[in-house]
Amino acid sequence: MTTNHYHPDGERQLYGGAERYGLELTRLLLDLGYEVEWWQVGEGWVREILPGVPIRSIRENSFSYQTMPALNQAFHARANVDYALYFVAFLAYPEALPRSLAISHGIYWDYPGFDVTLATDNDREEWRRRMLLALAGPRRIVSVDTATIQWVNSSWPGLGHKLVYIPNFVDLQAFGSQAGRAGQTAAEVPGEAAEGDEPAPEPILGQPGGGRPVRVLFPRRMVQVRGLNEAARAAEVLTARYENIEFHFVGRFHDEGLEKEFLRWAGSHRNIYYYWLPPHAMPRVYRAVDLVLIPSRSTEGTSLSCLEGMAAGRSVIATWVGGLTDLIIDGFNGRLIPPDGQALVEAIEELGKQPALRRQLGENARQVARAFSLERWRQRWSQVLEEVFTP
Amino acid sequence: MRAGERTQAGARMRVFVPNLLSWDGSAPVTGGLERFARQLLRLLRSLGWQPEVWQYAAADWLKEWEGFPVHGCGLSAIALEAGFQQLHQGGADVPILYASLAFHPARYQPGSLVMSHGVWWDGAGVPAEQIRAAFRWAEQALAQARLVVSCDYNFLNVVRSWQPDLAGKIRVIPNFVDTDAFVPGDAGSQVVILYPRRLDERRGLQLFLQAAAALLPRFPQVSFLLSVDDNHPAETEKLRRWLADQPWREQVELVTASMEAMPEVYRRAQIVVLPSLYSEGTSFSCLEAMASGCAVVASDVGGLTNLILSGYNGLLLPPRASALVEALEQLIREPDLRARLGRRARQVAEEAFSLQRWEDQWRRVITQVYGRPLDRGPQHGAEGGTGR
Repeated sequence: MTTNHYHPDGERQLYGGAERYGLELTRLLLDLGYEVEWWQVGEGWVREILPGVPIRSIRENSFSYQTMPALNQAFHARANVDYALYFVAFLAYPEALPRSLAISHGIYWDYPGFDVTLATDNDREEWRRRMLLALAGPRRIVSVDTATIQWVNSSWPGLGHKLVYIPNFVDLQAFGSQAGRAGQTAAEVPGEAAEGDEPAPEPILGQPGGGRPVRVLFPRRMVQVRGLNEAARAAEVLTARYENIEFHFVGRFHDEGLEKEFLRWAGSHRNIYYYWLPPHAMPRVYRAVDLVLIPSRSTEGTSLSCLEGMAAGRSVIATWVGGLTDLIIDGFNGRLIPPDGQALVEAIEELGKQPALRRQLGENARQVARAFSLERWRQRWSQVLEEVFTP
Repeated sequence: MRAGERTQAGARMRVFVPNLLSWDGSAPVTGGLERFARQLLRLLRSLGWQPEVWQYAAADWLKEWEGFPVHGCGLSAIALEAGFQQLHQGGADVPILYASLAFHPARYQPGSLVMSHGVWWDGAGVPAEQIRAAFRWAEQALAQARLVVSCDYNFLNVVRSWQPDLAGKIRVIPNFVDTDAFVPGDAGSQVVILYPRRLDERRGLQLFLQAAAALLPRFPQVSFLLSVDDNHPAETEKLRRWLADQPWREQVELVTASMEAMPEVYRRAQIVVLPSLYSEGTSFSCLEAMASGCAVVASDVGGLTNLILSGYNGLLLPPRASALVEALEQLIREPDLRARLGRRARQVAEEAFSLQRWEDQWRRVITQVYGRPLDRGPQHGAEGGTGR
């Protein structure tokens, strides 16, 4: 049971980290011999999420105190199932099947705007009460990061025993197999370059000298909580300060008007580019850049983009928010910085000027990414499924 | 006459360390805070400050610890609040650095730096009133301080998920390890599994003993080593007697090692277990085990998750006996995995948690908050109050 895998109109399939997670989990369940059906908010339509796997919709989209009790109740009334999996933990309020699991994709209430949605102490308390019930109902809660476990334990000490930490995964084949030096374009991928060619030296920020510029990538959904504004400001400051730096913003807005506006903005700046690509084209982009920015302000689990940047062997500059601290050890396999523009500018400058440090952090990141393989994720999940669903 | 005093003592700084020495001032309290305070005081001195420690105490006293004066605040015997207030008396122009936040109502000196050593209220059975109080004490420090330095990201994450606008004041500086003192030993053929913690229920000793009972009868080539404190000799003795009654007593050793002897203890071990239940920052024990090249098995609790990336440089588990037994069994059976985790743990300790890195980060925040000692004229120094 989920909120939106498809857009509620049933037409457009959403495609982000959560959706990829849902598809991989469905594949695992099928491989383990479960018969799977999905339920979500919608006009009553039925689609297929994968061949032979239906996704049905329920006409209930009322939302109160950040929960969807009517959807929960309708699901329990209509779905004739043995086990339930609440894809977003709050969906388990007010009721959960005895043999059920819920997933927490990370803390999403850690930004000032959330305060506005629950403006009074009473609202906040009611939300907390409902979250407690949602966490208490299912037999286990799978958490994609340790930050959520820590939040649960510091809010309701002792409840943490319900949570199992299973970090997100990265496709090492796609992102890691050709991880080589930074800056390779498709034509330069190993095996395709002429033998005996000396690799071009990696660029140093502030020392143009004819080579290609230092390339910086922002590979996220184009929303505020992902640190878009900070990244855009850093791009303005640094492209004005240095001749040989390039920023690539790669991802979609939720709104086409904003996309047009951002395209105009990028077009009016030297060395700032904005475009978007299907997921299968992303490995190339990671290979072509020197630095990957994950400058989220909040609402962060074990980010797939961060893992992809790591798997590609790039040095990652991430903020010390949510699950990002489960992926990066500052100074070992990337940088962890506070979520502010100034810190971002400084970190980009520091790494831009030190190709050797970039290589070291990137190589360590590539090694660390191997601990987050899809196989390991499937093993960890299989264990939890067996524990909860075995009769 | 302030100016003359300032030339002599212009670089004075009071450092609040709640319990550096015991309440009667007779002996240092060994533990993480002591290791932290030592390096912080040395760093302050190297920056030109003359740091003096102020702490809770049973009576007013003045002692010396490693060349630093330590003032006992005797009013603590009436109430911690009163002892805390003594630290602010008669020195309005002396800057104060709080090496720990206060767990009671407090007025911090405006513009000061306050340290948090992690979330401490995240354990089963902590009463709701204590949790509310914990948030209150954290909020009080965050509202008043110029900067709050946290030794882990979890305190920061918890604050952000509770009061996002307060989190901006937090800077994270993880703890450090001396990678010259703690170095890998030769892996012998005997598998030694070490528990290097204080006898404190929060540290999960019971889980370690449950794992020992489950594993030792099945693995005769394995031995368990407990290195504990001797702060409460009766407790240590009780544990010793209990161990002597177990059928696997020949495979267990209990030692009470001094801080100086710890590198040698770690060198004997291939696997180190940190099964904490709650209240963890970036644990010195974990960092020392990593620097010693041990395969670390730690709970996914508090700041431990900031040191270990599970499956890369150690294993993270929920604090449950079944999970611990399973993980240890895997490590016992797979020497290659043990060696790999240990090698990477050492590398992470060297590259990310060196003392030098810690000093660089602290130097920056100290200078940001307090300036340089010689810059502090009366107009800066007096911001905590009017001349008295």
